[in-house]
Amino acid sequence: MPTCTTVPLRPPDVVMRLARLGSFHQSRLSFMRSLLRRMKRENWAFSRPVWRMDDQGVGVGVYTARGPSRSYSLVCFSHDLDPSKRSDRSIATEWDATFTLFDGVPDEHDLERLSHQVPRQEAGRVSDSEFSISRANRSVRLFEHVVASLAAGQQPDREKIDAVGYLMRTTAVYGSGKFGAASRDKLADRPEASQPFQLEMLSVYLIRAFTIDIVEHLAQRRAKKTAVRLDPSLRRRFGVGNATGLGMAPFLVAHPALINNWVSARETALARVRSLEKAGNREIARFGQLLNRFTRSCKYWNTTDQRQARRIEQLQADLAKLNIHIDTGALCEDHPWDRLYEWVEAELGLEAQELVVSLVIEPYGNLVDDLLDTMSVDERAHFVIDGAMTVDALQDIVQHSYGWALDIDFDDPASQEKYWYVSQNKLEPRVGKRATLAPLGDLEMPIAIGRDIAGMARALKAWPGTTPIAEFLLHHSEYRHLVRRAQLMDAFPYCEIRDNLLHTDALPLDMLRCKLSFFGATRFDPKSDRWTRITMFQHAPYPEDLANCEADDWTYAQGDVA
Amino acid sequence: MSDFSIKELEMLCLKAARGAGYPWGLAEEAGFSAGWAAKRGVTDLADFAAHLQAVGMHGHEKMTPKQGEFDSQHHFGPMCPIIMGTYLSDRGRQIDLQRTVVVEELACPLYLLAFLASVSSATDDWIAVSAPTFNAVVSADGLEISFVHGTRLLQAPETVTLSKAEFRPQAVQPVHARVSLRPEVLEQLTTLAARTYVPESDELMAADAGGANVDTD
Repeated sequence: MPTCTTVPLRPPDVVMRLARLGSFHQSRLSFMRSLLRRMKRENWAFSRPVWRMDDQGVGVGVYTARGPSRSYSLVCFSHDLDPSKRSDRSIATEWDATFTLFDGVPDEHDLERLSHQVPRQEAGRVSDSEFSISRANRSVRLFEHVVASLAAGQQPDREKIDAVGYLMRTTAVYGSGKFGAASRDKLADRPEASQPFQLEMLSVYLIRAFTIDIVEHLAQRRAKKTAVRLDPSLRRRFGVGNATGLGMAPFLVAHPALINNWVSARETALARVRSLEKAGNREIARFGQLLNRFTRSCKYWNTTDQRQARRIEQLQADLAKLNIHIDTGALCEDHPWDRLYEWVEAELGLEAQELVVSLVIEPYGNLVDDLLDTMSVDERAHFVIDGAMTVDALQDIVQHSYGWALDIDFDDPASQEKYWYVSQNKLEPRVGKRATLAPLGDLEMPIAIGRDIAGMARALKAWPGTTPIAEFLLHHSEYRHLVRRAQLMDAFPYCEIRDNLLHTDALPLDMLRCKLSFFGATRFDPKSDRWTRITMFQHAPYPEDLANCEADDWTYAQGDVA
Repeated sequence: MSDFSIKELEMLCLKAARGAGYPWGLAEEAGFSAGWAAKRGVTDLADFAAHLQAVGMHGHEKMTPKQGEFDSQHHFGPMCPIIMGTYLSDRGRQIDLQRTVVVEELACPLYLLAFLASVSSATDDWIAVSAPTFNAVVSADGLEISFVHGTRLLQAPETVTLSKAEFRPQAVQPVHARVSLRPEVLEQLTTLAARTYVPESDELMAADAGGANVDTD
């Protein structure tokens, strides 16, 4: 299929707004889905070479995924956690299970070494042979119900399963280069890791298999005579939960070129599909099928968060309008996807708009999937500042790409109420109120892009326009990181969130959702404006099923649709 | 000894540099420079940590060269290799290495090398570096270095001469994926990095990310 576009990409001023980023949904460009497609395409094989668990489910298990060139193994340490220590917060020091992704197949010496480090998580040190560390807690709402049901020879309640969606919930998945783990440099020549976050997604995918095995193990040890295994029709309804907080939010600011490539791929995919003159019957049917599935599954999108509940309610109303619009033959005219998008943008809310972006690219894998290969970036290649750029040229970039920041009145206390900092307790980003935190010293994270760009713009005015930026920076090194960002703009137009992240109304949650949507997360269930629960890999095939089923037809299947 | 990936080491050095008082952009460059030198095995970062301590005490502003002037008359004390290096890197192609560049009283000159690699990348020149304690040739991706005393010592500020090299680096330093830090160096860097953290009060912790203390999920 042709990949030229006659429809322009949506401009960064439209896309890179917090509210829109916070409405993104998973798509076929999400990393969980690309992982499963690759493993299916390359015929990966899976095994569980180690399973040493006692009656309480304490022990070690190893899951190995063998690709065409090399293997990776999830090493799982299962613990007997005192329920009073099962904290929902990141300050926890013990968990129901802890994991690491090992490069290859670990021997007994490796398992012994890891058994002393992985259960300690941040307090331990892993090695160049490991790519991630992570941990998970059992769902208080569901885990015991499933074990007890299976032990009694019964299947767990389907409605309860759908209400929660997972047996265990990860509270952190630390990737490359942290706590001693190997950095991405080691992955440079590995195709299976060339797209972003592939090994972290593999970790979670294998954790999901572990969660099923551990409940079946516990049920069997509890009642050998009566215990049954999970019914195949129920197994896929379990994903892996995740609780994600502020630690993830500054990632989007700290990796501007990478974020550009994610968003740019998504926008390019949309533009390619919008540029099509006609839609084939098969593509129209596929779009309709997925829209129908999502419409029906939306009722299983539960949340206790009032804001998100209102958004879901609005989305459901918009879906009803969209279905009527489609039924009137909206896709039978020329340039159907472009017309549809124009209509959606004019008539529906942000949640629905961004859902439609995900849906319209679904039938066109052969037109858009190559974009996954553009979603990584060598950040070092864009690290060096062009000091020969003149003050005039930098001012032009600021005027053109940061106009949104220059218009903000930063003297208004509400414009700077939020103060991002790193917590001494957990070494993780946090956000508080400036009035409380600013007196403690210059401890603010470099998140205040809009405010500081505005400051730089004022400083630039004092310099002759022909001055090289190298000279400006010699006297204003406080703006060095901003010059680096601004110089990315030409090549990476989607590199900057175009909103004031310090404003009292700015929602960190929107940044979390943006990043998680690229992972492929579903069922966003915010618990405040700064953390959310989500579900990963729900309805996906399990490793043992992958060879014999469709690898990529699971993300819009929820509830009674599965 | 603690074993680090280069990325983790760079992040630690970045935070330590920020803790020492560098602005964010310079702290990023400091992390890059420290990682570049460490993975080539030419430093154990003890002098980097000591340099950061000095920056923390005196302020980086006093170690900044005046525009285009690198002799000791134009700065107040030892010149910072990070600031000097970023200035050279920023100027890139504008640097004329046909004319020898003399930088007087440069603190920890080994941390200039990463930036000279950037200059080399921009100019396609190989750069010869001469100092009382070492001689080196730097290219965009390689480093040849010899220490006058056979091994490197904790460096006092030195006068460094930069010029265009006739030959590319020959006996190139191997690039390591991991670096070990001695406990005292790690302690110094982590102590500096800790200056960027906020000790959380109960009030702050109550408002931070995360749910209830008891997991009800």
